Amino acid sequence: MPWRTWNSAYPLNRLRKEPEVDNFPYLFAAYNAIWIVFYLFLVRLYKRERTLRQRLEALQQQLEENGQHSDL
Amino acid sequence: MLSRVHSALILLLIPLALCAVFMYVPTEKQMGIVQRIFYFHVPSAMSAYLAFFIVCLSSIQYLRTRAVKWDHIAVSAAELGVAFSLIMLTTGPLWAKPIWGVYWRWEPRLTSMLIMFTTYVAYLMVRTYGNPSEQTRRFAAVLGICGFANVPLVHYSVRLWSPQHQLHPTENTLIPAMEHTLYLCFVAIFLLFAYLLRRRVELERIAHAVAHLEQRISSESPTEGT
Amino acid sequence: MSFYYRAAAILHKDLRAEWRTKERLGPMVFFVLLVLLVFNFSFELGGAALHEIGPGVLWSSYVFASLLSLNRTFAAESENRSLDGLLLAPGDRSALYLGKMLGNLIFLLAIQLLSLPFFALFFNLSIGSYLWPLLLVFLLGSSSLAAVGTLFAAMSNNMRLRELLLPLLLLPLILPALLSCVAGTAAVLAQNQHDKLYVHLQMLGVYTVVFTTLSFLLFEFVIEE
Repeated sequence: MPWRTWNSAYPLNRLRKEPEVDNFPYLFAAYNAIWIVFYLFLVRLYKRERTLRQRLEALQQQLEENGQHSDL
Repeated sequence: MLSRVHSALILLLIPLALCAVFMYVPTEKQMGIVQRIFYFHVPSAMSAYLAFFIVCLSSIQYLRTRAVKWDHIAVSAAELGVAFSLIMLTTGPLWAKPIWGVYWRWEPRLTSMLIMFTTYVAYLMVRTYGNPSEQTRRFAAVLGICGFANVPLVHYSVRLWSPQHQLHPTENTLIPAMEHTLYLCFVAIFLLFAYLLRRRVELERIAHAVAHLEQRISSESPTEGT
Repeated sequence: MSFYYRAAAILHKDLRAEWRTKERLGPMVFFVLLVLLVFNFSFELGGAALHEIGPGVLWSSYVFASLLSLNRTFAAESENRSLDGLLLAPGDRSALYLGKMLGNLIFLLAIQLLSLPFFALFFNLSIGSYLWPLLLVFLLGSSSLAAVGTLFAAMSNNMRLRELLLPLLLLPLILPALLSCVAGTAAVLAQNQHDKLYVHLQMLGVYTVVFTTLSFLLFEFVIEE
């Protein structure tokens, strides 16, 4: 059950007393790499989406204006 | 409504998964704290293979029906597959260095993933360097199908080639706490995968609509000024 | 016209054109020789190196030569604009694939056989003792390369950066076959590893069957306008 293993939990300050903590930089780098990849993907996604939505609105406006000309 | 629930679940489960990885699960005896990379490394690899499977299915559907939505799903899944396999190929060496002493060994799983990574990078190059036309979509679909058909062949031949490099730890030595954490991470990563796929498909749909409108306007513009 | 008759007609046309011009075989064999030279200056060849890197060097040079050769699969049809005529002919278009694939298989085998003496010379090898098993590995290796290479040659023929894209598309896909070719050749040169050789030949056979079937199904989508 979670309560029992929580007693043997490892808050970060206790991690520093572990003998294997020499490898902490690798753990840190690995998790950072994960977030960096997701972050870059999401940033690229949002940027492209914003540009495309602006372009879409401009085109729809232009189409409406053309529509008005053809009416005249 | 469903998308809000989806986003909320992800915002809840990812921090929960991180807490489980860093605070709930005990440190593994042999490998130490660096073993905690495993809980995100394995779900990323599984998500990458799921993405490649989706590329294959959508490519088959596109060739069958020629409906553009299947092409949108295929290209989105391919990008996500490349991203998740990049995560697996980055965390793998970072886990390997303290354990095996070297960043890279030509062992079956890493080698297979590297080959699949190159296949789908080639897929994305076909999309990028081909003209944005129906022909490029067809070619990419063919490549998507052949790439996934290659997966069992790659796995089997790499295993044949390097039988001595079975250095990956096997999952059947996990205690219950580790199993729970792993399943939680699986759920969190798969939900994140589904969300990113949804957003990417939406982006592709908008890009297609923009291209369609631009074409329509440029075909209507000769009538101006008359 | 039956399917096999049309495939045979295309094969016959390609073989006759190649016999007259020799524009693929000659340059390709010379290319293999040059690549062997490059490998010689990059690594220490001969003697103990034979069993370690010999098969790898051999198959690397064959793969690079096959990439150049496969690029030329549909070149004659493109240059003379006769592909439309071929496509307008009634019947299953996979006959075109079969004819081209068999043509590629024959060309690749010919390149390998013609450049084998250079390999034997540089590695101080007496081929006679392992000729037949080696030929079997060459046959299955070439059929693997031809099966998947013909499909992607047809694809890259219609694309902008064709010479650049064909290697990028093909190399990741042929890696399983390449692994088995190299290991099979190493097993032949080691002479008493029949089990290992058999396993790798099986792998190559499976690869050829899988990709030939897939290519038959998908060729239609690649060749249409």
